[in-house]
Amino acid sequence: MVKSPQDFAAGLFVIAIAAVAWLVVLPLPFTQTGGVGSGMLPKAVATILAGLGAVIIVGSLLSEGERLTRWSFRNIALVLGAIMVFALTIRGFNLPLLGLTVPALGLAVAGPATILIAGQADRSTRLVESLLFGVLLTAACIVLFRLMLRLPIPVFPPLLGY
Amino acid sequence: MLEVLANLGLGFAVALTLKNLALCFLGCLIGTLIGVLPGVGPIATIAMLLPITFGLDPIGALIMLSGIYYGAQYGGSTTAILVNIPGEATSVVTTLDGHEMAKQGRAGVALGTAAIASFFAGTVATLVVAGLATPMTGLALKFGPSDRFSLMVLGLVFAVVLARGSIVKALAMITLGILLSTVGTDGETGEDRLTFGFDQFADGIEFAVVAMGIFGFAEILKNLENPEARDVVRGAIGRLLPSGTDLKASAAPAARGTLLGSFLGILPGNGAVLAPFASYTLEKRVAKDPSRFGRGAIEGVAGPEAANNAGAQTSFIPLLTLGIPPNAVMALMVGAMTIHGLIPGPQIMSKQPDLFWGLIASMWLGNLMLLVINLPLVGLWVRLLKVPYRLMFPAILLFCCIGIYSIGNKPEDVMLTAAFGFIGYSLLKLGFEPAPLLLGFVLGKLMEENLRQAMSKAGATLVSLLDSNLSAGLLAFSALLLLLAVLPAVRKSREDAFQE
Repeated sequence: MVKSPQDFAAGLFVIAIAAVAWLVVLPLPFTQTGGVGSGMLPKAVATILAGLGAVIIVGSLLSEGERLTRWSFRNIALVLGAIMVFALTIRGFNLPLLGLTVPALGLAVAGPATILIAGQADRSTRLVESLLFGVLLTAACIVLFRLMLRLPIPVFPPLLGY
Repeated sequence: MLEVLANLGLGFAVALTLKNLALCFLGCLIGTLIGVLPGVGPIATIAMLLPITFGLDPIGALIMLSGIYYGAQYGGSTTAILVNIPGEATSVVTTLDGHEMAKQGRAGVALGTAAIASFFAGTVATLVVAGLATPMTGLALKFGPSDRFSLMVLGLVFAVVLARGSIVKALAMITLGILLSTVGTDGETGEDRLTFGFDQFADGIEFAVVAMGIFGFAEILKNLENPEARDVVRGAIGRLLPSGTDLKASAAPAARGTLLGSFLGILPGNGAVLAPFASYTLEKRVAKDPSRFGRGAIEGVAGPEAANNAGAQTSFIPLLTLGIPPNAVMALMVGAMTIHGLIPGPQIMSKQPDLFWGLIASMWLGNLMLLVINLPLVGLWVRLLKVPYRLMFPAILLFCCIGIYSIGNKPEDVMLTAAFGFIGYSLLKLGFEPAPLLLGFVLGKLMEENLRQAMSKAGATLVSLLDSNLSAGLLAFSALLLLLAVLPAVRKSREDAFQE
């Protein structure tokens, strides 16, 4: 029986990654004339990785270990969602698969939006405080990154002409 | 000796220009500023602040980055003493006696001792780096591709042996890192590897994307899950300067710690991480009354802090002379150097002596500045420690987003980092320690290059890696080390070492 569920899952995870990598690099040659082929390192490494995964699984059957802990999908969705909102709006993004074009909004909008959404991941966040903090921090970032360090990051929607 | 002095002279001429001094100061200041935040270690700090240096010339950027590194280290110690939360493995030891001193109302003395011991260690370590640079570079130039490959294998084995937790899991992380490094167009044959048909992957995965995803975003997700009980010292900080008795008690431990740290930092694996532990154990052993340790013994702060700082500095030696990063922080430095078009290795010293010696000179200046800015600013750090996490993490998140976007002005990079954040979170949930992954990721590329060069000779097979005595010896030593590490007896004492 599985004595260490965390390690058991860890082993499976590693083996799954190795298997996917193996399948993808399958057509690449292991060796080529004059030495190492483009497939050698990925294949060798994927094989070793799968082997290590197997060792982890065997270990999880033999000795007691950690249990699996609950994943907080709400936090993941909010934090990673906030990052995605930043990525999509900072200078606009084409999503041909969805037939959508996200308009460019610049840091002035993307900044507070990111802070506001991510902030929701902490239950003690207060809406007004978060909004105010987002605006102030974004302003500071604009001064630091755009005006002082001169990074070419879009600040306002192009409609406003900056 | 004279040559070393002349070289250092050149270095100080570069580092003492107004611009580089300002960059060094700024690096130390913001490095401490971010490093003080609980739960943000040096790796996350450097990854986050990397973009600030993009607009600078390579010398200025490296000087600032190393300032950020020392600042982050020192900020971590401050947090360890005042809040009992170590930013990373190397400041774990400082929490033991440092926080205890703080609870006894001697927080100021603990911080002062840490700063002075670190400065002393930094001074010695700078001399060690300067003295060893020329002979080590000479040695490195004699290394062939197969020797370099084997040395990297040894470095990875060291990193595995010294990683916390399960050895097999650490090995798996390194292997996964190497696998990630093979993503992209093969430099030699032009074939697409593991790109899953995405054009974005053609140039490989950006280093900063992996680092910020796994150390920035994943950390945030983890911290949100375990609301830390922050135990910020409430009472007064007290006076900062240690008394004569304190100084006398910490002098010898600081000297021993410096020696230990300087030596361990040079090792091609992550030796620096061992330094504070080793120093603490040593001090406990030589102490007349070992029971004082863990109850606010000043030796337990001075020794490990000196060891920590010395190791942090001498770990630049393998990077600058051999071109092989010994730990995740130095792997980040490789990433930073690559962005500025520099390839770390023995050729840097001969081709860009001003950069090489300027960086070394700025190490000492950085240490001096830390001493000068940290002590007067303690009040500011304490206030910063009280910023609630609900405000801190969105701010970190936004900085990271701006940083990644600025690398190539590509929103896709930001999305990819989010994906790595998820991967990093999964790894943490499955009990993996992600630092070895970063090391494997950087070394993977270097290893493949060297392996290819070694095997490009006619009739070469994997066995020809053993042709050179050095390479064969390094590989044999790696195998032995790995074998020893999995032996039950050694495994137990290794666990004990990290228990303390």
